[in-house]
Amino acid sequence: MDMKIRPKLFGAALVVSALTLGACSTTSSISSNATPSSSASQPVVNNNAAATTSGAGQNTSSPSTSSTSATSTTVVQLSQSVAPAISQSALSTIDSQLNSLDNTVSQGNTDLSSAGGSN
Amino acid sequence: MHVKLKSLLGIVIFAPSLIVLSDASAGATQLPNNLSSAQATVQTQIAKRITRLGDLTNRVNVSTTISSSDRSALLGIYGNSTGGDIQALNSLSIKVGSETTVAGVQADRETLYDTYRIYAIVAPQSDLVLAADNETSVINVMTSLEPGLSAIVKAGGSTSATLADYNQFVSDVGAAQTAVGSISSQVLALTPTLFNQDKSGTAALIQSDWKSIKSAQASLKEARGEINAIILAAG
Repeated sequence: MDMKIRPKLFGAALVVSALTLGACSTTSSISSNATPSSSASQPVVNNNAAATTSGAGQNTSSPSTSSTSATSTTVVQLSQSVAPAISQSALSTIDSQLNSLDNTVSQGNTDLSSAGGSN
Repeated sequence: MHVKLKSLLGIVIFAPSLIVLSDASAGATQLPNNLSSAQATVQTQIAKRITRLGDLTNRVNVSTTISSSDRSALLGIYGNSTGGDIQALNSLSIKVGSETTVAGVQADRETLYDTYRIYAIVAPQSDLVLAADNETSVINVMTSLEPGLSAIVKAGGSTSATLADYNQFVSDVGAAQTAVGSISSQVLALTPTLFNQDKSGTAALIQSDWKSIKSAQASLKEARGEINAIILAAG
């Protein structure tokens, strides 16, 4: 597999475009105890989060963006050397949840600022 | 809880633009002298609060990260046709419509304020719980990645840069965990009664918790950036 990463800079967010995970069964899910030598036989990680993507054939996901969340919009496609140790779906889950958090915090800022009436 | 609220008074400095609470702002604006106008005014206030509770209900229902116990707790506060604030406010609106004096309507409005505190307590309470549980979920996912990230760093020879990124990642996740703490259970204990007893203390607690939420959010964003740095370095 081509291990080169092709970065594209969009504002503050570095988006590394899709490198097809190809035989994604070897890269999409890992045990949290996996070592770099872990292989496809590793069990799927269960991190108590609602994973938004699944493994096989998956390309880079494109989470929604937020102007207040540069890091949460950063997507790095896993290279072959990294994929055995890190779950792409876990990264997508993190990005999705950070974006959701942005929205919640924004709403909270509004609620707290309008709570002055105290009623 | 009451002791804690009092103790917070001395240590929490909160932005004056947020949660300005005073007796003068406790909604004592004069009602119209005309009974029907007074009734319409208060019924509109009630309707806005019911709408707000509906919005909060939707947000809680669609959240994928709120815990089941916190979801139940908040939905129990909001209520529906069988109980909770929504049902009570609908009943109160009917009562307002049946009043025969402006003084009676005024009393109903005080009930609206003192008993429910939708804007002062329920809405911020909901934001805090939703945000705290969201952050806890992110923390859990990030924590699950630590062994894999450590393995990547070790496989790459543990260069000083990647090792520093990893250590900072662990530190940031830990900082977020500390900041979130037990915010959800803490704010779910807040009630209109507590607020009425100690308005400034309750407001200070909410504000302090909100600052913790934003601190955790910042730490988690930093941690997300460090994940990418480690991955890119290993690329």
